[in-house]
Amino acid sequence: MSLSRRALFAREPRSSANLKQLISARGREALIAELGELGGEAGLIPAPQNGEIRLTSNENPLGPFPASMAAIHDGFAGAGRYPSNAQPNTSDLTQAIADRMGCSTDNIVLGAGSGELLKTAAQAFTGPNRHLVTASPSYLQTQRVAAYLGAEVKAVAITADGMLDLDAMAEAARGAGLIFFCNPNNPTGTVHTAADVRSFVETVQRTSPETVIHLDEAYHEYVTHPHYESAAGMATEMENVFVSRTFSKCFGMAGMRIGYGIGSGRTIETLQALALGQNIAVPTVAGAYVALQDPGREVQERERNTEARSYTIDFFDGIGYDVMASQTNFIFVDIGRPAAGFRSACREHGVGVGRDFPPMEQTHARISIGTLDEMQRACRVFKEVLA
Amino acid sequence: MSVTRRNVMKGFGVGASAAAIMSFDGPRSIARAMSMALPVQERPLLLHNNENPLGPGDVVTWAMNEAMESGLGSKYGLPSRQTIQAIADTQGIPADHLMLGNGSTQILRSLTHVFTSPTRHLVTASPSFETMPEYAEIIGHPVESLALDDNLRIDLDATADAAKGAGIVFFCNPNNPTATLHRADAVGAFIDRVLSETDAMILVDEAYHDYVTDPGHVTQIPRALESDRVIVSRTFSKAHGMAGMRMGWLVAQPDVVSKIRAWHYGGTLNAPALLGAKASIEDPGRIEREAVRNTAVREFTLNWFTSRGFETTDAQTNFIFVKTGMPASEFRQSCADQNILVGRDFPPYQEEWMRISLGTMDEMERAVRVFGRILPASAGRPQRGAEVAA
Repeated sequence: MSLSRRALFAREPRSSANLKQLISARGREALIAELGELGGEAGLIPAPQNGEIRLTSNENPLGPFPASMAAIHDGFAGAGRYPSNAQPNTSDLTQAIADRMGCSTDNIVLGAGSGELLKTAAQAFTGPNRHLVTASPSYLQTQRVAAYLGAEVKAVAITADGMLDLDAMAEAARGAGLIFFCNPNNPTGTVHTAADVRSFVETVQRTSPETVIHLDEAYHEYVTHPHYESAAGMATEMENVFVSRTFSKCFGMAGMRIGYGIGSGRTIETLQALALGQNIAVPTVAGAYVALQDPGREVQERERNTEARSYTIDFFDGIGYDVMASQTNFIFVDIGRPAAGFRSACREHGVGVGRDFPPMEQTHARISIGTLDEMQRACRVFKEVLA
Repeated sequence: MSVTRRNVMKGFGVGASAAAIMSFDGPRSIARAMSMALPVQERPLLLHNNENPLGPGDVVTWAMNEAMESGLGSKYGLPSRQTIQAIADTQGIPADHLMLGNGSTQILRSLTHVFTSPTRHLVTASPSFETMPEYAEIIGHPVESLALDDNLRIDLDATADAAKGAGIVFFCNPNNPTATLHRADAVGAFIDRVLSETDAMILVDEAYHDYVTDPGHVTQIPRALESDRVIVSRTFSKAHGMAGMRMGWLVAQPDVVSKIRAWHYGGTLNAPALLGAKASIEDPGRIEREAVRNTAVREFTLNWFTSRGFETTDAQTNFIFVKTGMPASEFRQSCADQNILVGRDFPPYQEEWMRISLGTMDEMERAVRVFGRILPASAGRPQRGAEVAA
């Protein structure tokens, strides 16, 4: 490893005061639950319940693609060998992703879920003198890791229509180590157009050229907005732009743990250096590899989700509740009452919905999109609960 | 990329055909077609990564298939607690003393992150398992590596000396790549010394614990239960045959576990691995049978070398460390030419010593015939391997 690389990672000793702060603010148990063996955001997600319509966690209700499922089952036979010895192995998968993205394998890094990449990005690019800029509410994992490392977190409130306040985020980014830009955003479901993203990136590169911009595109495959475009192309051309994707959503492999990052130059080299080696399980590699060979199935899943999403949005419109403009497999609804009460009432009727999303937990609920049949049944429950 | 690897890859042209097959033949046949399409030549014999050649076995595979059939492959909310509870119940460890990781690799990295700093170094042996020093270098934390003793065992006195002012001591027992073990009395005295003379943490990595036959060996798990400065790590990658599933675990006191978890990202574990590991640890009979199988293969292989005058260490693992007398790179290339992959270079022993992982008895009988063609008939005789390699 080069000296410059080593210097890149050299950081000031982490203050244990920060950890103590976290523990005292939220309680040791909460900290363990959230950052513990379930990891990050996943720690807040309930285990699957029998018979429940599970609209809690933005999963694909149909599970892995049939071809992936077959490859995963068959992959267990090779489970005694490290992933580098499997067929297909991690290099084959990286090549398949690079082919799909039209870039080189040098532009790709694999993670055990995109969560691993979110963590390494925060580790690499935030610290006591390199603050994080994110939105509020947005996906929390980056923010938690940054806080652990003693980085200041500037969480910029979203606008009234649920969009990220890109002007305010760019302003807050002066001197930042990292910007976390979730597009579409979780939990709001809203998306920014290609023009918005490009203009934001150009602004930040002008006003804070050292800042790394992390675009998390976990829900990319579900977007139907005609002016949306992935930032992956930018990430292969601009050193300070990094995109993460996941097989947990459209590809239905949340329980298998695989995601990937796209970037260039020192940013991707840094993330590759920090990535765990041999981190993707043999059957997971096989399942993801096969999924990439079947773009038609991806289109089918997008169309299925779009139909169920439209049905659900229409339902809420029909009974007079505002829904943010969702481009994902979940919606964020202004139910005009605390999410906690709504959640427990739904649960009593066999429907699980999303957790609290401060600071909007007093008015908004996040509801994941299941199958159309599940949504028809769930909407009957919502109608009753909200009546 | 090695020549052999490239050959294997050449046969891997599945992409387009898989989708085509699926369209008329159903998804199940895709993976089958893939495995048929894969190797143009016979797969190499894999004696380079210390894996269990038999893999996870039926009980574990059944549990992993079941995890998929029950829908867990697509869901968050992983069944980690079930796995933790199974380890707790079968090993007699309170659940709050356990933590899981993506192989022991992730555990070792998290420990390095949490317990070293720019001013608190890592102590390790050289050669030993490299994950901790590699990661320490990535994050810019200092490492002190100590040479092995004359018997290729970890130098316990020097390690204890170097532990003064250290953040954590990595102690791999049995040691990889030398396969050597320190017995309970020596380990106990070593831990006592580090605890009383320093304030460093000690990690005892027992990745190969299940393969040890030396009656003087004991696990240090009880020590980890009673001291907040001792941690023991284990893995499902070796005797449990689950290297491809990525699952390891550690034992430490609850406050220590909390401190590690504050940094450690647990979302790297996959659902079938969690339930496979649970099934595996609840089936100790299979691990005992695997140890017996490995011991027979190990004795056969060690005997093949020692009867020809080649020095080996007293291997307590599913690999051996042998003084072939030729550079590891040369021996490795000669083996690769005959479709066998063996261990990498382990400085400073790479000029004469080789690590060879143990396959099945049948595989090792094939392997030693190849070794016999590469090595001189007995150690010290002029080498005739050069012709073979050429």
